[in-house]
Amino acid sequence: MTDGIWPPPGRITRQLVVSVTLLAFVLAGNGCGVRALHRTEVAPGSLATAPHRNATLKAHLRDGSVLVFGSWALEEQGRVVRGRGHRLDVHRQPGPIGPQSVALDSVALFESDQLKVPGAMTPIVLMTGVSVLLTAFCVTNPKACFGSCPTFHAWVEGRPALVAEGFSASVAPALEATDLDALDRVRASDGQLTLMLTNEALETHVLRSADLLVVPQAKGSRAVAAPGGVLWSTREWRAPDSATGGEGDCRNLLATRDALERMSLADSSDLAARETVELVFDRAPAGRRGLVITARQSLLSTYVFYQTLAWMGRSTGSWLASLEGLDAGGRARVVGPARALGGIEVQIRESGEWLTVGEFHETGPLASDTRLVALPGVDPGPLDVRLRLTRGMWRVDQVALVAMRSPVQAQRLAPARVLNHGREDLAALASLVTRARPLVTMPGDTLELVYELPSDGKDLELFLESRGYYLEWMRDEWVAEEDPARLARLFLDPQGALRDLAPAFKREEAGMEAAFWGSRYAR
Amino acid sequence: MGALLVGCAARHSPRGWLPYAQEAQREAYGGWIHLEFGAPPEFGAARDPRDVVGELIAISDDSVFVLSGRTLTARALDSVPRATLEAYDSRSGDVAQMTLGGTLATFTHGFGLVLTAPLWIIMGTASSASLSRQGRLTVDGTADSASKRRGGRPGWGRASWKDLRLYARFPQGLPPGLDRAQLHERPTTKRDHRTRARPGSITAH
Repeated sequence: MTDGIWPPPGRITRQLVVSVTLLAFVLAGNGCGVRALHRTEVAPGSLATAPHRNATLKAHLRDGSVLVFGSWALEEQGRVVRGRGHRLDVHRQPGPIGPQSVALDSVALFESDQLKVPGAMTPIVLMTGVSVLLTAFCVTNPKACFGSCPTFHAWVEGRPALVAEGFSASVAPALEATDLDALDRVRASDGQLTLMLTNEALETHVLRSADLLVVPQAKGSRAVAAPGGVLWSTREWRAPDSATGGEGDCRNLLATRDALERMSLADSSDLAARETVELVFDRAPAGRRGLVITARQSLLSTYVFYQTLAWMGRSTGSWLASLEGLDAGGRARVVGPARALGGIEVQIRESGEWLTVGEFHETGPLASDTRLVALPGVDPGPLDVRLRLTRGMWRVDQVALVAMRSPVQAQRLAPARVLNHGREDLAALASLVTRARPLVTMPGDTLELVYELPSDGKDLELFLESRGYYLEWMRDEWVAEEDPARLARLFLDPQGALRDLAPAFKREEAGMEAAFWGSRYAR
Repeated sequence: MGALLVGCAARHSPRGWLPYAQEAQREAYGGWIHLEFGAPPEFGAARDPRDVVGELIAISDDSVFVLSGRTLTARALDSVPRATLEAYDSRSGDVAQMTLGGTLATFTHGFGLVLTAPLWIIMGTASSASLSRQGRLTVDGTADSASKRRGGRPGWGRASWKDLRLYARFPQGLPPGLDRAQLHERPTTKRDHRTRARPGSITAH
């Protein structure tokens, strides 16, 4: 791995964004009005076909003077050019602008000068359009562009990539949690792995730990995390032989881990409306088996969360603080909207009925995670599986049927070094190793976590276990939407509130998705 | 970015001498020409003392006339191995600045800058390099006859002396009775704002 590799995201503050944007517009403005000049000689007999649009006609007279016509016409049966323009004498001193005329037989040479936008400007014009749209979208929807939660980046196939987002659901101290993310696209080498920990949003991140879990990779086996954080050794990965969603065949999107994701749009009348994707496996492995799903959320959950904060308005701090004292019933109400949106239910057909046997859940729209859902039954043969999920809520990259062998024990590694802009940060290292005090990061902070691996790393499967919580910074535009009544309805009747929210979300959904895909770089 | 701009064509004319395309459309001076008698100069190297630079005044059947300061110099066409003409300022430098601005603006694209910043640099640099060759014509003595055989007006780049005539102050040739001592060089353009005038609305200089 290389140290100090990717561009640090920088501190994303409104003032800085405005300053840079203004500077950019000043510089970009210099390119306006760039034109190419197309100069051609025009034979007197071809004057009728000479271009008029964005063009001048120059009549070079025999005495060396020139008539420059801004507009002109052929008159007197094509013997005279008459129009509006000015005369330049032989020393190029200009005369007054006004009506001009010249007989063709007194002209030595006609010249047409036409202005055109150079073809070389086309990419610039296109890029300017895309940039303005992206800037406008990102200013109004910062979450879609600037990420959320602690994000971890690593080198994947020679490029820096977002590989995990930690404890995305832990939006308050009371919701502090441990999150396990598969780093299945990351391959270490040279006995070392560097993860870039970033705070790319207007949030305060409180990180208690960021341990690497390392599992030696046996030939033909892969380790996958099951609910509860148990790691299982799996073999015989099989793509579905058919996969059918509401849009039709989606097998190609689900067959491999290739960042080509199956997704759908939200329902226009109910954000919690479900859809199904039916999978057929012609041959299930004998023995214990499970379904591996690689997926992440869309921006729907982010939208609902932000709307919740907006309805809390100025009372957000009090609301989040009050979570500390809530009993189980109170907490259930708080997470009610998230439960209503749900995860990806895994169902199998039994006696003609679809039975739910497990659920995939991973919070956050940025990095996909891979999870194992155990399936009942041990008999080989055809197997029908159905995924039941909220419409427009999930981006599913891969689904595979696997044989579950046995749980595996991972070796836990704390960071060996923490680098802050290339310099050792002993305080941050102590926070993550001793856990006496949490590591707190602010918007724009970037740290490199360096792990020393037990081998060169090429034969290791890697997982990241992070623990902590984060606090959103309130935005002015959110406070303006404070609405205790709608907030109460969201917690007391989440299904009804999600129906109410559907039209507003649908108005923004297309733009959110387009900008997200346009700005997406995780692979 | 500087390294990428190596692909840009070097400019021979004095800074501010060349008109923008919009200005060249309304005036009737010649372009800036460099008659090169030595080997093609390397970047930053001194010009060959035999070289002639200045405004292209006219091209006759056998001679090219160049105004340097107030001196009109004539050279036989056959004696000039190579000449480069700059007809107007294609503003590739402004586009380079625009590219810098666009690249900076990707700061507001969040994650998207990983895509849009390199795109701006690559496309902007390519555009700037391409524009730097706009408005330039080169006559190469060895390529002249081939260019003529192809016929028609070539694009920017290799050209014949005939192609260059249109970019002379007097494309029809030196006017009879012209007092050569009275010729004065094109005044440097003073711009305090960008040229946006449309040809249909010609204004006084």
